[in-house]
Amino acid sequence: MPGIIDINFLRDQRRALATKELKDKKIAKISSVIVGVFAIVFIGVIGVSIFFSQKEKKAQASIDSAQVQLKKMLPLEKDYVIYSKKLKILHSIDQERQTKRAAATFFYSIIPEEDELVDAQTDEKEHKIAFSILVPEIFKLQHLLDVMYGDAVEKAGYSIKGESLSRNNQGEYKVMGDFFYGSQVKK
Amino acid sequence: MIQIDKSPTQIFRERKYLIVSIVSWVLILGLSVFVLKPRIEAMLTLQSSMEKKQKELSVYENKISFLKNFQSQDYQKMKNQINAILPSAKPFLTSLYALEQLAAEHQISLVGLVSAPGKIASNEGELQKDAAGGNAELKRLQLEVQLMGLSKNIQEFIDTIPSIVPAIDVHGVSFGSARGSNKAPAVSKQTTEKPEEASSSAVYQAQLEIDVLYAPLVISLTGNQQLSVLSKEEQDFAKTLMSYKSYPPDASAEAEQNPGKENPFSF
Repeated sequence: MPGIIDINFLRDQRRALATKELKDKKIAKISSVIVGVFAIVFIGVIGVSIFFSQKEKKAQASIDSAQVQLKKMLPLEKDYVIYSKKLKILHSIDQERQTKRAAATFFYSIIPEEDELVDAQTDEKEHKIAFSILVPEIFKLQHLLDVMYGDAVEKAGYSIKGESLSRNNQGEYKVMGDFFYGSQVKK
Repeated sequence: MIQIDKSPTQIFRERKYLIVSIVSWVLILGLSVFVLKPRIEAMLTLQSSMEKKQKELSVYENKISFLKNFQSQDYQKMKNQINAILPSAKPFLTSLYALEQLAAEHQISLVGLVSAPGKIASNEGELQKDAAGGNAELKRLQLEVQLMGLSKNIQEFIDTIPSIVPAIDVHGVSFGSARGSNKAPAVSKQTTEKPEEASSSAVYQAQLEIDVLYAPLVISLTGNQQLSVLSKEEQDFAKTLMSYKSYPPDASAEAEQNPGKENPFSF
């Protein structure tokens, strides 16, 4: 009706309130979902953290018990450490012996049959065999010197250094020198 | 529009859904910052520390099972053999006994012995005091042994020395005058490569410079050290050590010896 002012403002207010309530309910619905998800995450995190903490405690307890057991096993551990150290020492000695044996075998194999090795001293630090060879006569001496300074020695990875030559009353010659093997081979 | 002042109760009644939502957001935020975040951080720390602990535990468990395995009879036999080959105490008498027995076995005579054994201790502690300042784990007792016998036998004797108990290193061989021949034998095995048929029946005198080896190891352990691992080659080598021949002193002969003199008095 023209000219009449609508004064039923209560109805408008109720309508506005109803719209607001509808919006709030929507928000509350979303919030409840968020709260639900949060609660699940929260309980999950707390649960996992308690589980880890228990597991860690168990691991620590196992470590402590293992340490106690190892303390009791100290004499046995000492035995093993000594055993392994001695074994390593013996193994390295054996390897050194094998090198020495191979060198000695080669060295003795090159000495001419008519000559005699009268002295052999091994110097393990220097990796050498200090030797004295007795040669029956001067004509055989050349043969020995040819062998000593021949290619066969160098090819095999060894070297020989003559130190001295002497002659005795029986006309025998004594050649003294060093046979080098291993890393100390003198070129 | 007419503005009407509303009481808080009225406001709450009208916007209860919104207010509850806001409170729940604040709660979520508060719990996230003050409870959840620290919990997650602690959990991550706990997880990494647990991984470390589990690794540590597995190391200890492996060590325990390894040591239990070491207790087995085979290992104990090997350990005893290695301790006999490389004793902790200076093996003066045992080496002499072994050399004597070996010489007898090869029908040669031990005609002389030169040695300066120093302090002969029966325990590691004494030897440690004796090993003045020496850091090396391997010690050597130097001996000069004079032998007499057939060249072939002397050669066999020298060849056998590296595989007897205790460990002996031959580092010098000199041949002296022989009875029945003016030739010295060729040294070998060292020497068997070059046997001298002509001289094998003659009697020779040989002087050997030998080192009897021993290792007075002093070990201090806390139980937390890692055990040194032996290589396959070293483990195989340990098995070969079982074939080293030992010459234990004759217990019955020792028992027969009555120490001291008989009591001449009746009381």
